[in-house]
Amino acid sequence: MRTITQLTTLLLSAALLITLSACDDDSTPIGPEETVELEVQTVEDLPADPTVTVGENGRPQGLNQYTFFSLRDNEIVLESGTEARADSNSTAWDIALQGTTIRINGGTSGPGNGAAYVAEAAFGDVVEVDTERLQPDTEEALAIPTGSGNGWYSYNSNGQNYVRPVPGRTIVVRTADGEGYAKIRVQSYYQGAPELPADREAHPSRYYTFDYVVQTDGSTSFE
Amino acid sequence: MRDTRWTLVISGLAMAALCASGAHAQSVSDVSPDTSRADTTAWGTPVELERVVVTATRSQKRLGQVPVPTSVIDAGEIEARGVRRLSDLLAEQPGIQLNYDHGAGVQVQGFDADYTLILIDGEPVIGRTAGTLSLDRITVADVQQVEVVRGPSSSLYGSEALAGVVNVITQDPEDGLQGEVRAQYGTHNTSDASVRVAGAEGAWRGKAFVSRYASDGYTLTSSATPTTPSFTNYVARSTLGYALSTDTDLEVRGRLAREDQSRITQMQGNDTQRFDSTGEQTDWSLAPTLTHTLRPGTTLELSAVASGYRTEIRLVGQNDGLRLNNSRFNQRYRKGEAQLQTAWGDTHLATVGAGYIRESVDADRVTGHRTGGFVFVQDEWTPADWLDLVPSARLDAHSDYATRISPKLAALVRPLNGLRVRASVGSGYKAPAFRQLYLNFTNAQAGYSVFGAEEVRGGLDSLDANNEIAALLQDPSTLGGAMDAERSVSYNVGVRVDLPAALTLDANLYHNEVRDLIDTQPVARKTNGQQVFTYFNRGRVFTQGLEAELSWQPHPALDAAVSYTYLKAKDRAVLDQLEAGRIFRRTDAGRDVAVPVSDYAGLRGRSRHRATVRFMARAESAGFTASVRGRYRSRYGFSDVNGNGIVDTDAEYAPSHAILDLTLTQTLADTVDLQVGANNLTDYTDAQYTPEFSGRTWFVGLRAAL
Repeated sequence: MRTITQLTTLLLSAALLITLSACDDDSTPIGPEETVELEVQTVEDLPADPTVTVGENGRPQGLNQYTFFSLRDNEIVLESGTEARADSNSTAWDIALQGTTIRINGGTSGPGNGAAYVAEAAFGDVVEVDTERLQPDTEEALAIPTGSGNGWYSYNSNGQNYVRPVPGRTIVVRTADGEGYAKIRVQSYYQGAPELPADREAHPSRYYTFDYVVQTDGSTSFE
Repeated sequence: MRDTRWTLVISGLAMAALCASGAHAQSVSDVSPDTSRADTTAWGTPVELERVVVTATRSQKRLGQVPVPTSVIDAGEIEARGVRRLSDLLAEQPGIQLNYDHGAGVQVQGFDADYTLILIDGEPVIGRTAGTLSLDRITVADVQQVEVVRGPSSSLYGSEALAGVVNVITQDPEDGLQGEVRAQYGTHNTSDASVRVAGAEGAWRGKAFVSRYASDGYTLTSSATPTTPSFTNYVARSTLGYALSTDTDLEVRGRLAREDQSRITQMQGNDTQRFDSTGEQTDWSLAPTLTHTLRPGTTLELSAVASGYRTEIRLVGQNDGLRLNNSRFNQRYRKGEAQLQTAWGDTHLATVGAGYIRESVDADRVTGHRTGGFVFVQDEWTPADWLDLVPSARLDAHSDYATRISPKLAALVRPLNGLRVRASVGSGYKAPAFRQLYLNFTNAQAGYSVFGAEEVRGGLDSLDANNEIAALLQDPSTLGGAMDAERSVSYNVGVRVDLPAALTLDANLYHNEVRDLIDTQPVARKTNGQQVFTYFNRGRVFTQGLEAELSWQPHPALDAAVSYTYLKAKDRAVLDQLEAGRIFRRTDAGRDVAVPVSDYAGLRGRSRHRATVRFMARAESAGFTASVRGRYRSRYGFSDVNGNGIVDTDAEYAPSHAILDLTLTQTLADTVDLQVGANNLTDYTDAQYTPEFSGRTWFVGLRAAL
């Protein structure tokens, strides 16, 4: 029963293209003298290998494939559900998401010149890229660390097995072409971005909602 | 090798028995030099201060002479309250907060249950689940007194005695024949019945005690799974003593407890399936002790303990009858110990001891054993009429973690009649738990692995051999070295002052600084994207606070007290991060702001304020006793809701609550008591935060003595 519901959800979400709303920047930025040209874009319910089957012991399973996303174009390059994986070996994508893991297109994860770090600062306060901290993905560690409390999320910190973004963590990414920079704030890991996903069936996991700003003119400033 | 050591311990006991020659008769209680001064202030309560306690110094000492914070609950008080379990008794005590996590455990000076040593007749009780030794397992029906020592006592007891020690002292047999029957019945079909027979005749003395405690459990939610399962618990305790000669005594104490639980549980999978879950728990101990008076004032005590704790949980599907899961846990503990106590000069009582411990555990995910030896020394010195000094130290050398030396110095100053000032500084420690050393666990669902410090290198090797390691995050050769025990340095300063109008104030300030708390960290990344974790010493916390009690005893039949405790317990690493502005929370407007240091609640499950009241009155002529106890705890950090890992907003607290208990006892004849009682009179419940409170419960009880 549960499987059917989840399959239906998956089919529905696959049928719908992801809502990619480029909203006007109505949130007043921090700082009085601010002049804003860059706009905050919001991506809602980006599927990152969502559950398609429930295995033994109730373990949710996806297809073990990444969703490749272009921050520069604000679009999915390749969805985790797509069988052909050809575009993954390109610089068309900037970040790849599967479950809680986010890879960048650089180092061991992709052919691009991408790099990243996680800033311990509020999204609005990250105004300048600290290029010293930018790292490519390596065998030893991903630029965006995995594991609860290491990178962008915490898991089960209240005993209810939720994955929740840690407030004040901003992912800073160099795009695959090596020329642009983006900063990302994850809002939710659950479909519909509920405050707390108490109803797991209505709000399945592995759906990202995030805000980001991308700077494509080569400047390391987000202002 | 194990057998050899046991042979040594046993032959040591036998030899000591042989050496027992006819020296002077000297009973154990006369050993302490009498350095106390008559306590005859105009309004004081000499009775309480004259009470003999044994836990704080491992020697018999009057409570008024003990230099560390100690409280005693005696049999009369236990009877007047009608409580049957150690958990229910301690729940009402000042300075102790009960927390319910895998059973009822004590929080002393802001520490979790793992940090308080639980003793029965001076010997440690084993069998902790997630660090908690459930105090529901321990009956207080045949108890002489319960002593609670706050502050570290590792200088005498070693591991676990970091926050304090609770010692349950059972009633000794007396001359002649004693018999007692107790029965209690109440809400949720909860019943508790016990029989005690004891006696002494000539050189022999003995005791047999049996109790049965059972309940249907209760359900606070609409779930099919009960909040508390039904259970039946049996406890048997026995003592057999024989005076080999006037100065040599042999005693064997035995303890056996068994608990059976059953409940229905649901598992979420493709379908919701219901299972019958049954659990068994067995807990036993056998402890022979040989006491020999070498000369007046010098006593040698040889003791051995063997104890075991075993649990098994079975899950059987209700539809298909298939057994889904079996989990078992089997722990053993062996100790041999020699202790020599001698009075020297007019002002010293020295205690030296040495021993050997072997512990093992055999469970589904954890298997291992460890051995250790220890030596301790203490001098109870009274250099002046008004001053007692008690230095002590203990060395613990262990097979699987670093050697610990735990010193302590305690002082008691009596500058005036009716005024006592206590001060102590000491070190406490807690050995790494079995899982922290020997766990070998891979989560089948999520795919991550956790290894204990002793297992991590072998575990990484075998994962690597299966090509499951993608990358090492730490050099494996640096892993698996001797782990340190978690350790503390603690300060206690207190005062006990007799006030006018039969009032006494006892107050204690404390500060505990704890280092090397054990925590997990990743050491490798697996090819499945998950991580391999092991345990490291890295955490630092502090706890500090005030414990105060004002008691009023205008008459032996009237006893009342109010207490207040203030507690602060914080993680140093979190404080550092907060001060650096690196912990944030998201506002309603969607902005992330740094959390101010003042919003940090500290460690979870700690109430800033706690208060208790107790009132007991006895109408001697009418044979009637009334006892009322109340307790309040302020809100406490419960869970992280906003994702920043700490408790910093109102929604993350559990609410404050107060509980009121009442017991009335009527003595019919000299030997028969009838009792009625109500616990949680205001019917407080909160299924989310305090499932341990089922609401108001009633009971009736009967006690008859031979």
